[in-house]
Amino acid sequence: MSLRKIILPSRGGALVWVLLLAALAAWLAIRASGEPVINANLMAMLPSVDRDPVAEDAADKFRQRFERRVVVLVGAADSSEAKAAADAVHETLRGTDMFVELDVRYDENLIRHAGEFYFPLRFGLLSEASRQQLLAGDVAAFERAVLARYFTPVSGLQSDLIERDPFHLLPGFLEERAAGGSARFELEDGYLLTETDGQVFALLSGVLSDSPFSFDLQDRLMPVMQSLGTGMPGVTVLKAGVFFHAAAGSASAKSEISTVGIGALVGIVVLFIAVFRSWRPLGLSLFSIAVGCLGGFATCLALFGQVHLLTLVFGASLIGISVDYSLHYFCDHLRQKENWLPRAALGHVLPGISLGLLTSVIGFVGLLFASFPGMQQMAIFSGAGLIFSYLCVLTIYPLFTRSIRTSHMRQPLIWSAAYARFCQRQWGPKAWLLLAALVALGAGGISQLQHQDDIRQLQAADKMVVAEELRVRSLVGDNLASQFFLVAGIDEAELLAREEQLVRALRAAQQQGHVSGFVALSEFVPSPDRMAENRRLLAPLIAGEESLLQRVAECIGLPSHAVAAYADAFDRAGPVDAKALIDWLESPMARPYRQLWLGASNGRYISAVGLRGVHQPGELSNLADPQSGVTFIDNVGELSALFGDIRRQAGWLILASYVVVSLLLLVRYGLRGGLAVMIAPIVAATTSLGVQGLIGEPLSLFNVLAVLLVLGFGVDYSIFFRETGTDNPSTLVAIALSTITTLLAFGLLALSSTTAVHAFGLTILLGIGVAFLLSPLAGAGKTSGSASA
Amino acid sequence: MRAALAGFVAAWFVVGLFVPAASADTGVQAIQSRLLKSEMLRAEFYQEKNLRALSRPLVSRGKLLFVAGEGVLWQVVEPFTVAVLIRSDEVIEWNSEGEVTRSNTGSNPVFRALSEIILGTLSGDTKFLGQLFDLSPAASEGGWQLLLQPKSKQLAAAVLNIKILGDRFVEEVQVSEAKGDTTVLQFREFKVGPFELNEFEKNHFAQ
Repeated sequence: MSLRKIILPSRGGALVWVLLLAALAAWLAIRASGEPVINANLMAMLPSVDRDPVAEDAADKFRQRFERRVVVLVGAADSSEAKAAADAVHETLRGTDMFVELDVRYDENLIRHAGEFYFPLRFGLLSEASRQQLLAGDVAAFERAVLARYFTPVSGLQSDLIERDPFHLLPGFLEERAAGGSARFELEDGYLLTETDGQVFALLSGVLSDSPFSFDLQDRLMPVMQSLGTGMPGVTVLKAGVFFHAAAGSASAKSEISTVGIGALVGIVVLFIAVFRSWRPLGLSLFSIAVGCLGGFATCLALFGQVHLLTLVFGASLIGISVDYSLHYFCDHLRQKENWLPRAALGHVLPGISLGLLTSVIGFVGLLFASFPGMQQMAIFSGAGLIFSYLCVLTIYPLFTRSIRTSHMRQPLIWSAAYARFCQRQWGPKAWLLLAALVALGAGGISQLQHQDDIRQLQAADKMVVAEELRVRSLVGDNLASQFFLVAGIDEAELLAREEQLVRALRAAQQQGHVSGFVALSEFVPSPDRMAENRRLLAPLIAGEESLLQRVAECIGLPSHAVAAYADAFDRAGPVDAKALIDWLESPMARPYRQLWLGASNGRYISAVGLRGVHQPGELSNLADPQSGVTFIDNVGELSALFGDIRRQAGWLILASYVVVSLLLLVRYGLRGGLAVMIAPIVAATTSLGVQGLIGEPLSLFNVLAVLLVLGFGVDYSIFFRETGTDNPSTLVAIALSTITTLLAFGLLALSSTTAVHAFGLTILLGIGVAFLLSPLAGAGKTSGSASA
Repeated sequence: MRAALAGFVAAWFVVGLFVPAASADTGVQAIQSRLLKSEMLRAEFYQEKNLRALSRPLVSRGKLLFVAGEGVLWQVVEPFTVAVLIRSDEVIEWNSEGEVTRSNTGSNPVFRALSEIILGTLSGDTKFLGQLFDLSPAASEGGWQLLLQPKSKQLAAAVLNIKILGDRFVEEVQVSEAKGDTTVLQFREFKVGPFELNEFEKNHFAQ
């Protein structure tokens, strides 16, 4: 009992503890007034994918731009109303000062800019279709296409252009570029308009000034976003972007934190008042809960710099666990009301709660091994929180409970005694039969489990946000996929040439249905090599008396001086400057595509190639070639694969934890006693997973990690029983109360709209329920063992 | 530039699609009431483009088939065979070798715009033209004519005017561009459906 001597209560110790807590609270207050302490970005919770740091930086940069984009469609009965409404929405949003870019009117001189930029380059521009014809040496097909432009009905032809571009190379190239764009929209007075279901929609696009996961941004922008269109009858506002998912996610996480937190607190208040009929135990317990939360939060903040929102959702359940130590302490008072001494009570419950803390912490330490920051944070939060609550019970409780008076209910004790006796009597063949049945049920269910490692289960998908986004997509076209390519080169020319290599492979992938589209800078600015090659392909068609140019000229009646002038201009055109890309990026027409340009870093120029409609990410990843600077980035895919790995790792980790805890218990209780204590948690874990298999819940990392906690709590219950025995109904009351509060906390997590949190809560709910019902078996084993000894 | 005209005409057309005219001009209304509405229509067309840059006009002729809800199939017969199917969301072109090129309408708005102007007038909806053009309707020998003059400077920089002549059907469209190029598109031999499509037409619409 040296442990007791070291930490037995003293006024000095309590004072040190309280001062420490005050200091911690002060630090928290200072810290919270500065930098944001809560992080809602899912990526911050996820394990990092092993990647070259330059590529990782570039990928982050592109992702950041991508996630800050917001699209708003403003619909009204006709175009003038739509334009007016769009202006009003634009005004409102600009007023928030939360956009670095917000467009409602687009450059009407786009065509002029395109003309100015591309016209001088026209001798090196070929549409992909023409290029393929010339590469294949099929001049006849090229000729048919050229002539078709002159003779098909209602095609636009202009004298100015015919003389300077008789093959229509420039329009051919530009039309192919425009074909990939949002063809449904038409430019009118600078507004981009589209019509659907009897309404005209104007397009607004913007870039947020801060991360969409910033709480500050969400709090200020979301009310504005929600109010758009109200007070404008007949106006429909459709919004899309990561921001809306992030804001909905934060809102649901916040409401879950308060549901879980308030639910668990109300449960505790009701239980304490009903059982102890005294304010002091309640007050002290709430204090230790608060200290636990403070400790968990502060420890996380100190270690991680920020605390994630999901940690808080999970951490809210700490309320239900950290109250356990208080319950054991006060339930001891139920056992012995007369001459009850705090020191003696502490001595009585100390071995149980210390061992309980140890096994819980072992459970959480297991989570730390999962190389997953989110889980580590949750483990640290819970582990530290429990230690803080435990220390509270040790230092503060004895000082304030000297003259405790409780006029507690008799019923819990009576019921508990009855249940314990029932279990004791049944500790025989019937109990084994029940256990065998539960194990069989569990095994049967586990064989039905389907695993699910998609990381998107971490994000609560708000149905309204998804529906609105789908409507926007149906008008604007598919958003860029979360997968993309990064291309690097030592200069612009190499970068563009490498992109072109990739684009060629992507075209083939598109044909095979692996991807539905892509967007690349080299599609707009061909590399100098490509343009030189195009010129080589065209040269024989232009020079000489028998050339294609001559034949076409004869067919359409182009005078010979015009032919000669064109051939001369073709010959005299100088080589293309590699800096064309930079000029293009600076021109207004590049605005929608500028996000693909990631600039220079460490002497490498980097760009992103965006993808639409990725159907076969595996096939696309084969196109990556780090030797030639092409990397495929698929965070969702890579993280999901990683989740699968961690899930399998965690499975072994849990088996190891069960073995370690079993060995620990074998040392203390001997072979038979150790097994008796372990039966409840093992059967509970199997039953919990089995039931989920039977009801069709998928198996994810989160269920697996929850099984670890089932071990932690289940062993606690059994240990308390083992330590104090079934003769003592107050132990069962304490366990029952602690189970109720734990179930309340985790049961509420099972209601979460985030799949991962739900899976976690459900596993624990089922596991702990069973662990509790079976826990008297641990004590019963001891009684019969000591009786026979 | 051709693209410039394409953009203007596309915008002009699109405005027309869903913007009812603020005031109904009685002259235009009269034209509209003269126009015959039909679900299917065949016609022969003749197109003559006079471009300053070329020493002689570009002439083409062929057949046109309109099926409501499907699109318009233009079959050029002279000087060589080309077929173009224009749907609301795409353009498909077949050259004389039967090679197919597809593009969405964004890539060639002139096709769609002009053919839908013809469609619009065929289906009796000329009102939208008033959004971007000053309309001067007039009776003419055996029918009516409508002169369209651009309202905006931007449009006027590309198009001088457009003249549409017709009676029960649109019979002629004359486009005069600002820089002197002109296009005349004539329609003859109208046949109003419903009628059976031939194999060629069925195959093309099935694309």
